[in-house]
Amino acid sequence: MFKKILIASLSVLVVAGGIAGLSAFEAHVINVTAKIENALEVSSEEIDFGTVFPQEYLAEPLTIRLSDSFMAEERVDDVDYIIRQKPKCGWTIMKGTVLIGDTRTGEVLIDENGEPYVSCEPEPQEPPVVPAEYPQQEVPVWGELPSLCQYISKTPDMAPEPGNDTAMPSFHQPYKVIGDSPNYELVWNDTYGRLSKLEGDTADEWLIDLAVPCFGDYCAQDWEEWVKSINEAAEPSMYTQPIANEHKIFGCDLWVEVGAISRVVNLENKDANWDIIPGDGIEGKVSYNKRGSSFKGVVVAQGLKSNSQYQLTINGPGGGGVGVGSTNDLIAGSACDAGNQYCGGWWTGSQPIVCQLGGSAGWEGFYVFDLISCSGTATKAVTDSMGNLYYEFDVGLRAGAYSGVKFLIKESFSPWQGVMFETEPLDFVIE
Amino acid sequence: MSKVKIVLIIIAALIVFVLAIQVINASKYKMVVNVVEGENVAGVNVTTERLDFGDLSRNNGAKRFVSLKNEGRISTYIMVWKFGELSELVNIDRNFFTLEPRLEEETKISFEVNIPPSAETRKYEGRVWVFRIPLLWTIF
Repeated sequence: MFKKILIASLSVLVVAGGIAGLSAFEAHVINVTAKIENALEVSSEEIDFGTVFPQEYLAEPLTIRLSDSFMAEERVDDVDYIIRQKPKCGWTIMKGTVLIGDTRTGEVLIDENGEPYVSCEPEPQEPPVVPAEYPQQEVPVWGELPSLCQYISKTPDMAPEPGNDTAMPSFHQPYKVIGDSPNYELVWNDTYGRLSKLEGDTADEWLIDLAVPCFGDYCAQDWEEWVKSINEAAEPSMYTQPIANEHKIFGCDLWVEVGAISRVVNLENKDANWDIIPGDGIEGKVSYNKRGSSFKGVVVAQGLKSNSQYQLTINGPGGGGVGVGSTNDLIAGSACDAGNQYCGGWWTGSQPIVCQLGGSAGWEGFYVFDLISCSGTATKAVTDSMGNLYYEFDVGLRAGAYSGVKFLIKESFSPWQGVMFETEPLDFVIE
Repeated sequence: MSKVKIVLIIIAALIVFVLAIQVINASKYKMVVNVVEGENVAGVNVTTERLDFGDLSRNNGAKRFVSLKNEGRISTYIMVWKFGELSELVNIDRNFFTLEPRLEEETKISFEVNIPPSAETRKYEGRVWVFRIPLLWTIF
């Protein structure tokens, strides 16, 4: 009996060990990675403007906001997004005047002559049933609906003042082709929006307006004047519709595409042992983009001296690598690119060394990135009369992966005492 | 025990063994969407811990993406399983395909949720498993 139990136990052990071992081996050898992208596309509900008449102007609301789950996440702050207009495909009957069944977003492609065209391929396999109120001999036709995109405007809510979203008036081209043969490229005419917890902007209330075009030669005398009153840059003759499209169903898909996301790190005053000093009222947050062409973000802090300048500094990891391409090297090099006086370079632990190629073990790259000029000590970051600081930054840094970055708020005069430090290191990628 | 029986048991054990390895190595993600009141409301969340479609009002839709890259030497068969309450509302644009090795570009699978007019205003959850099955014979 004992022998049987022993054999059974050993068998289970061997099988479990084998599975675990082979799993690890397969994961290592196969090397297929899967990861969730930090991107999201939202298609809005059908905004039905109904039957409209030439030169009518109609508006519908669209709310884009941070989700409850994003609001609950403490380590992320803001998202940047675009609103993009894409062509719409659908089934129509009665010469395109009645839309039935499902619709789909069309794909914009470029032909060999550099001309854009819309593809609705592949056609859905099953056409929808013609509703009973229409002649049953009608055959549903699949294809692109006449475009409404150029007539749709996006008006932002201008909050918080003076507004951090862009506007797009009606009478514009939703996309264009640039470049020369054969390297044509499609460029979308997007509208940009931003949401941020730190900036108190957690919801954008957009107004989606439709300026209805006129058809053929049946435009009112004030057509040109009306178009110019909505979009001064528009050429009115480009936005009349052929008479053949009168009474047809027009369409456009609005897509909200979220790309950039930023992370939040707390800033605190610390004592000589590098422990946070609790309850002193000196605290803040830095929100920064995890990936981008520059180091971009916002610093919000309180408990500082009123109406005072402060230096904002990033340092590489102490004891980290100093070789070419290391975080310390990238920071020191970026500071050197900006100037060679006080902006930054290498911190040896006791003194700064500006613009020296390569550092020694134990040194940290540092960059004071809010100086008005690298030949002076005056800074752009200034507190208000209550000692609060709000500062948006957009700093050009050398391309590379930055990890273990320190973030410091320092006084702007000798000995440049640090008053606030990151509670955890920053990590980001500059493309 | 007959020899046939022993062979069948070994084959069954091997199948279980291989399946267990694939389940362990599959990428497993949680999916969630929060249906909210209102018209044309989209609350966004693009954190990457899970397939979070954010807050959506009825009739709205959202897409999230999982990118795949094969940096090994073996072609890999990709199979996506979705289950749970939310899975009925989620469409996957690519499933059951072979991921060739060393392609420069990542392959993206989109997960699109569409909130029907009949949806209740509450949170819907589901799960996704992405299986990556090596096609061992392609190594030669």
